[in-house]
Amino acid sequence: MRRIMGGRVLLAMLPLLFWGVVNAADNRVTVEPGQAYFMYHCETCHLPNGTGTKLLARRVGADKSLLVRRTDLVGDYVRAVVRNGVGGMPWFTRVEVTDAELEEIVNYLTRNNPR
Amino acid sequence: MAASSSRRADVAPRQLTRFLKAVAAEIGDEWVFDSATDVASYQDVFALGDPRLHSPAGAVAPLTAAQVQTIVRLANRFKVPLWTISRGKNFGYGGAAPVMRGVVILDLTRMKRIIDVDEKLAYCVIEPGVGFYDLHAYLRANGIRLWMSCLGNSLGSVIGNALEHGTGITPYADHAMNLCGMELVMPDGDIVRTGMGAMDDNPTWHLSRHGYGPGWEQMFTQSNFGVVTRAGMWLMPEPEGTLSMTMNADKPEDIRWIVDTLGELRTKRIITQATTVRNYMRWAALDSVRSDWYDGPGAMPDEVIERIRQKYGVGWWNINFRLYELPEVNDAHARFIEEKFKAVTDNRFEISRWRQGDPPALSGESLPGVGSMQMVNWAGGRGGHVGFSPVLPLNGELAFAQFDRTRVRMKEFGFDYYGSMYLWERAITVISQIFFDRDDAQMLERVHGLFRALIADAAQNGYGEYRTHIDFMDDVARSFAFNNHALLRWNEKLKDALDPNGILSPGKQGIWPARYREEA
Ligand SMILES: Cc1cc2nc3c(=O)[nH]c(=O)nc-3n(C[C@H](O)[C@H](O)[C@H](O)COP(=O)(O)OP(=O)(O)OC[C@H]3O[C@@H](n4cnc5c(N)ncnc54)[C@H](O)[C@@H]3O)c2cc1C
Ligand code: HEC
Repeated sequence: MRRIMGGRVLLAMLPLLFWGVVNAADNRVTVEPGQAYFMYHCETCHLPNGTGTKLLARRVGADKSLLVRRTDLVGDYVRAVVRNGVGGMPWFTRVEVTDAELEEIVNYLTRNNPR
Repeated sequence: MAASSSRRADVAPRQLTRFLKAVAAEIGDEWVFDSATDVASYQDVFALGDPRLHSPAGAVAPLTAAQVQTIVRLANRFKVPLWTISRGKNFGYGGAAPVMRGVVILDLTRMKRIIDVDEKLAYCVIEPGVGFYDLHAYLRANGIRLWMSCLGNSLGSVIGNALEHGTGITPYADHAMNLCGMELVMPDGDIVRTGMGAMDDNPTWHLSRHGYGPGWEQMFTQSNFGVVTRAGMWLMPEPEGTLSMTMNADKPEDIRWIVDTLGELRTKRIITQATTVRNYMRWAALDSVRSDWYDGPGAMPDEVIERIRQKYGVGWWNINFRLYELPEVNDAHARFIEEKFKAVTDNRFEISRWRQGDPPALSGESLPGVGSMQMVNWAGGRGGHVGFSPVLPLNGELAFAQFDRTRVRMKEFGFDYYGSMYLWERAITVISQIFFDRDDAQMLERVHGLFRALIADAAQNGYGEYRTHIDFMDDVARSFAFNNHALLRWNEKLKDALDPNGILSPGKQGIWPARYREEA
């Protein structure tokens, strides 16, 4: 019998597809906290071919449809979308995606924005 | 009887504040919610009208069964009704939203422990916050060769879905039947373990469906008699092989021979999975929106349907199922199935096989996904859907008649027909999806009109729904009318005995506690 005690069933078991960054020096895959939360809460719809990606391709164009590649997402916009939903995207309660997790996700999705 | 959405919890603001404060003292401030944004986040994602009609007053999110006990006791003390959710992703049936506005959501999302997984006896013991993705990731990460039964929308909870009588499409598709051994917090705050679990440390709690004395478990599904804080779920051992069979049929009437032929194979347990038959709309809605095909009012005309079928190469009806376990047995069964179908149609099956050692992607394992969420956007705008799902005898003629009645009604109200049928061993669930634009008030009116007409049509033919949206829980409950609604009266008698303050999920499945019943 296997047990895991308490807490969230989270980082230990990252989902199927992987956005990890492979470190050239030692070939280790590293995952930022924001990336891990994104993978856990968002990725299933925002992978290539996910329902989020498909609908965004219709609304904002194919080149902007993949969130992890975006360089123009504004933090407050991401916060508003996650808390209120947008179009076909359901929103998230603060129990499911905590404020702290959302901040990590915002950091991750805006990491490539020009400064 | 008033519509369920017109009722409101009679909780004074001061009383609510005192309750939330008392809960916060026990579980921590950060897990008690009553801001406008938080309240809105528990409204129905696909509301069939003004979402505020089903708005809670707040939410509390415990981590442990002991905290659930505390909250239920405090709710009794302050007379604040609760609405239990596991993960609250009950999209199409109300999401996280309660039947009655003004209640406090008891959100079990944080109760995420996977307590045991036993590979040999093929079961797990989990808490209600464990999602399909969580359990799947855990099985994968630990190399456990057990298969789950997942959904078109797998964002929800394994236990929450099973408690709602949710279904998949595997031999373990009737999820409520996989539940074995529960722990419950009762309306008075007591904690009860069912079946063999009523004995301290009995190792068969999650292995034997029968304990000693009456079996209570199914009474806590689709009900408001208790809060499930953990449950055993049976899982499917990874099979030696699978064999997939696919066939299309050209005409709406073909559903007659499809259901009768598949039905016999289901009853004999040659086919062990919940077999689905779906119309062309599935392919269209998964890939496109309505305006890609047709912009006119009313249901799409036949020539548009023809174009859809051409584009995706699908039939009017589409059959797909798998055979599971020993490849040699699967082959023998497939031959038997082909013979049965040769007697009724010239169409032939497309067959593909998988066995241990072949690429796992071809196995047909049911994996968590959200692919079906795409369909919800069919009508345009901010999409939504609601399903109408009466249960019929497993009989082709009756299934055809139900399908045809529904199709005519949907056309009358201006909706495209989307049908899928789930074949069980002796019954069939005939599911019709109604897709709508959440912001089109006139369309939502039509949804309500259509839905009530469908409930009445089905009841007139002797059929009832297996599950329904929070807007229609009273309507469907009323359609179960034998002996002046004896079953509903019995449920309410039980409700009053177990939960005299009417704390747990008032109005769930039409079961109202005395305190709110008078308004009915
Ligand atoms: C596109 C799409 C496809 C879908 N496909 C499917 C499908 O294939 N099969 C299917 O079954 N559903 C399907 N659904 C419906 C729904 O999304 C799922 O059934 C979902 O799993 C239900 O949400 P949940 O698991 O979070 O349960 P919850 O919303 O947490 O629970 C459902 C209900 O059960 C009761 N309940 C929950 N937890 C407890 C508890 N601990 N104690 C007592 N009572 C409790 C409550 O009344 C609650 O309202 C689909 C929905 C959409 C939009
Ligand atoms: C159930 C599927 C689903 C999940 C889960 C999901 N999304 Fe979405 N998301 C969508 C869809 C669909 C859209 C496009 C909506 C539209 O335009 O109609 C979208 C759009 C967005 C947008 C808008 C982008 C733009 O340019 O307008 C952002 C930002 C976003 N999602 C962030 C997130 C984050 C962050 C998460 C995780 C916390 C998440 N999503 C989880 C389905 C999902």
